[in-house]
Amino acid sequence: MLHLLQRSFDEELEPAELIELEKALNDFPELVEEKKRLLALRKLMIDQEYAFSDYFAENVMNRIEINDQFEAEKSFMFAFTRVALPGLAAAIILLLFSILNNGVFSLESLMGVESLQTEYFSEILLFNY
Amino acid sequence: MGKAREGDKAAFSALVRKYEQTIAGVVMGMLGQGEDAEDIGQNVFIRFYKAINDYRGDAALGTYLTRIAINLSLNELKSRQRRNLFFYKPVHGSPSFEIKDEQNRADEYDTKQAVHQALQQLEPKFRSVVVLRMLQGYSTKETANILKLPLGTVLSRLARAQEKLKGLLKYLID
Repeated sequence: MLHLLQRSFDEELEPAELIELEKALNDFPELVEEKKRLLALRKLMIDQEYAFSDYFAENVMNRIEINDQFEAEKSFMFAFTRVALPGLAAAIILLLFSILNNGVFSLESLMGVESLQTEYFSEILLFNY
Repeated sequence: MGKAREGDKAAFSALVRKYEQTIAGVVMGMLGQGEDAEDIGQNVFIRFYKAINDYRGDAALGTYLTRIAINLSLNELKSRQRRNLFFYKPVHGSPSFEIKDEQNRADEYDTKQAVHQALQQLEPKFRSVVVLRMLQGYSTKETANILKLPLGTVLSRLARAQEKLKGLLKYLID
C-alpha cells in the first residue's frame, strides 16, 4: 500500500487503485501519517531555492564576448594560414625556378631584371621627387 | 528568442536573466553551491548561444536548457569522480552526513542547508530525478524525457531517493 501511496504522488493511478488507496487511508492511520510525511518532504523540496551570484548574466555575456573575439581571431588565423602558406610555397617554387633557369640566386634573377644597381634606385628617386 | 537567434546580444542577455534561476536550481541541486556550479551554469548558456540555431522549439526553452544543464552537471560529476580516484582519501568511522542532536531543532537549523546536504548524499542518478521532479516540478514523463530514461526507471529511482531523503530529513518531516 505504501508503494501505491508513493506512486500517487508521481503518476495517475487507475480508478480501482485510487479506490483501494482511499480505503486504506481510511482504515490505517499510519498510512495517513506516511502521507503527511511524504507531503512534508515534497514541500521541503519544492521550497528549496538556489540562485547564482549577482552579475551572473553579465559574466555569461562577458565570456560570450571573449569567446566571440577568440573565434574571430581563430578564423583570421585560419584564413591567414590558408593564404600565407600557399603564398610562401609559391615564392619558394618561383625562387627555385629562377635559380634553376639562371643559375644564380639574386634579387635580379628572381625579379627577372638583368642588372639592378643602387644608382638606378637613386636616379628613380631623384627624378620622381 | 527571434532577436537572440539573429545575434542580438541584449536579447540573449534577457534570456539568460529569464532562465538563470531555473538553471541555478538544476546545477546547484546537482553539484552543490560553489564556483564549479557557477561555471557550469555559465557553460549552459554559452553552449546554447553557440548552438542557438539548433534549437527548433520542439521543447520549451526552459526544458531545453534544463537538458543541457543536467547533462553538463552529470559530466562534471563523472569527472569529479575520476579526479577523486586519484586523490581519494578513505574516511573511516561515521558516515559523511549525520544529523547531530543539536540540529534536531528546526528553528536552530537552516532547513534549506539541511535539504541541500541531504540531496548531496544521493547518488547522481537518484539526485537527477529528485532535482527535476521534486525541485523543478517537472512531471515524471518530462523527467524521463529529459534524462532519456524509461518512465518505470524514473519512478523506481524516485521511490528509492524518497526513502533515503525521508531518513536523512526525518527530524524535519515528522
